[in-house]
Amino acid sequence: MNDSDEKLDSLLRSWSQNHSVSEKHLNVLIRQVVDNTVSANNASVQLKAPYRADRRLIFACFAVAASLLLGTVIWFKLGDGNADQLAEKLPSDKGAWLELVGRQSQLLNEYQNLFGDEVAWIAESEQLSDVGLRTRSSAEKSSESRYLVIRLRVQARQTTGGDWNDVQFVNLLVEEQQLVQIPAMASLAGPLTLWTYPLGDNLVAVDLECHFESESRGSIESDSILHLGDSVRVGTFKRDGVEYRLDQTIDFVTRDDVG
Amino acid sequence: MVEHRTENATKGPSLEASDQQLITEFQCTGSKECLEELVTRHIATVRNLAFRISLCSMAADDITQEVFIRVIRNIASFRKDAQFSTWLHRITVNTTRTHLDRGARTQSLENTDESMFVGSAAGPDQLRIQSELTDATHNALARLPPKLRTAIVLTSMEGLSAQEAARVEACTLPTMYWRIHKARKLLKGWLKRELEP
Repeated sequence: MNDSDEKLDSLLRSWSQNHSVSEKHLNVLIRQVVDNTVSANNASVQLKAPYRADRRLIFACFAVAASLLLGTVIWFKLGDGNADQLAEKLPSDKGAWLELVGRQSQLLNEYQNLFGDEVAWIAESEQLSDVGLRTRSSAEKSSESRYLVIRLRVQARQTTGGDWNDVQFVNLLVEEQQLVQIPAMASLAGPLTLWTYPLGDNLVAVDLECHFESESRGSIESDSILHLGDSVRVGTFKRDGVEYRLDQTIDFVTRDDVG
Repeated sequence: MVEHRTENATKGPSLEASDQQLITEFQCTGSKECLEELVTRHIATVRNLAFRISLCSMAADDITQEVFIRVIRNIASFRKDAQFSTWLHRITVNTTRTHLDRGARTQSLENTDESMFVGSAAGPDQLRIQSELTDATHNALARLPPKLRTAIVLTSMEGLSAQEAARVEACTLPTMYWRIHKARKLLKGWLKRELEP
């Protein structure tokens, strides 16, 4: 825990202490709670509803109307490639991507043969592999749990212009909702933190923190919503006359693939 | 914790009775003393947790009432190998979340009855600074989505470990770690000025 974490905790604790319920109020509340609970238990009736039935109906109508409106907005947003909520889509080579997904599912099979269901994530970069195993405390694996393939591609060029060159590829196999924390990734040489959350409708929320501690010394943090199979630019930064960019592509490894 | 005892000590419940024994006794005999003992033991925890997540004093009182009725009615679903405090935290969190889902709004500090809170014994200048910090912290907590607010309340204010908080929220440990991480990151951004030395 760093200094700012301690200060935040101190601020939160101070706020919660100042808002702890007073003894005077608590005494009144105890009386009310006991009396009402006894009455409710004796009569076996529900606690009185906070809203009248007609108000519930009005709220229900509003909820349906709001859902329809929200659904319409999302529909139009998804149809729009430049929507604010979706990160910038990039042209991608679908064939190469599907080949990578197939290769990753084979890799997952091999690792699962070795470690069973304990595999939480696998990261591959420059002939090196890092494997994250499930900790004992998080060993409650859901039978519905799925794995995702994520490709991170780092490219660089001079800030004066010129062609983009590949600096690094990282291929990740991640069980959904597993937090991936890799202390140092090969030539990235900095910590990588990633978390995924499938949203349905072929959309996945991805939180990423990627630190570059080698000559590039920069970092990219992003919270994006990605469409399966689309290559998306999630961040750029400039350092010492060089411009870097990071693209991300994501897809599911289906259970059939894993076999 | 407030001490509240019945006048007739000989007929009162044993102070060493477990929470489950008190509930069973209340269900079988209707003993008000047993219920009073149970409520007295846990009301501060329930009320404070409900307020910290709902950020509304009136709602916290209603939620506290509802939690104890749910506890009495649903004791059969409590597993004996589980911790009563975890179960109680879970019921409180779920009841508060339901309350928020019903459309209840978090409360601004201007509408809060200060006599409900413990407060502090600071001087006028300190009180002004403290009030500014309190307002900023309250507003920042109100901006957090309920799930992230619950994660930070359970761990930073209630003192639960990430593992215990994950049990209360019935989510995986990595998900709880992520919620805590995300909540802290957002709060640090919103409270940047207050966190400066």
